[in-house]
Amino acid sequence: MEKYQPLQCRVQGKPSLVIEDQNTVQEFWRKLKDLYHSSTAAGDYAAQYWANVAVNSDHPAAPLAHIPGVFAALWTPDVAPKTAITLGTAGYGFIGLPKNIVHFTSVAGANGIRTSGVIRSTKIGLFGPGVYTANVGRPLNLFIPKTSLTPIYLPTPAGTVRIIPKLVYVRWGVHVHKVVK
Amino acid sequence: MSIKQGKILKILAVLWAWFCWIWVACSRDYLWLIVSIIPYFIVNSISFDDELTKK
Repeated sequence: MEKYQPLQCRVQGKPSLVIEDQNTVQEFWRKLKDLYHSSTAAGDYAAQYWANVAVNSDHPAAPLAHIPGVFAALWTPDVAPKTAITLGTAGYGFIGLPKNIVHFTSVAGANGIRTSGVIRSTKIGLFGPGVYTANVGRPLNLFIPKTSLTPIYLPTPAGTVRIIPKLVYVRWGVHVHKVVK
Repeated sequence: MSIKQGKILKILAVLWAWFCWIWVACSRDYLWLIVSIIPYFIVNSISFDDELTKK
């Protein structure tokens, strides 16, 4: 019988759950494979159904059927792996963010933050408007302006997204971020 | 360089980067990923303090 790697489920802050019994692991992979085949077959059937409605129906709103058709097509046997990779990379932006991070600013900006207690959003940001932070400053991190040499160490703002590991994190939006004095 | 000139440069650098990224998405020519951020890095190295405009 083919030997499978043990399955391990890790949740931050809790002990890992490990399943080593080969029969259980093999059964898990068999069910996952069956689920993949049956769900992508269902996606294929649904995509074809909506395509038929969009093309063959006489109803004036028939073309709107292309909308659910597009979503169904994302989980057909040929497209599903790309869809899974695209959804998986969403974890790149949100999972495992540092608990604390640094906002680099100028001396004037730091004085303003100290006085007002808020960090204002960067309106003209390379990755959109928002509060930009990083774990590495200049000279290594060229995404930071030359004048922004003053670090403000703060808890990572809620909603922060990782753009480039260590170098660029952003909490999108135009509203300010309050810092604890 | 004035703050206004610096901001215009920064907007142009951001627009250039986004144009390059759209080009990469369409053409799959990944070399343009590096080209996209060079103007932005240059703008970041020019000494103008836009923080003074923050109230």
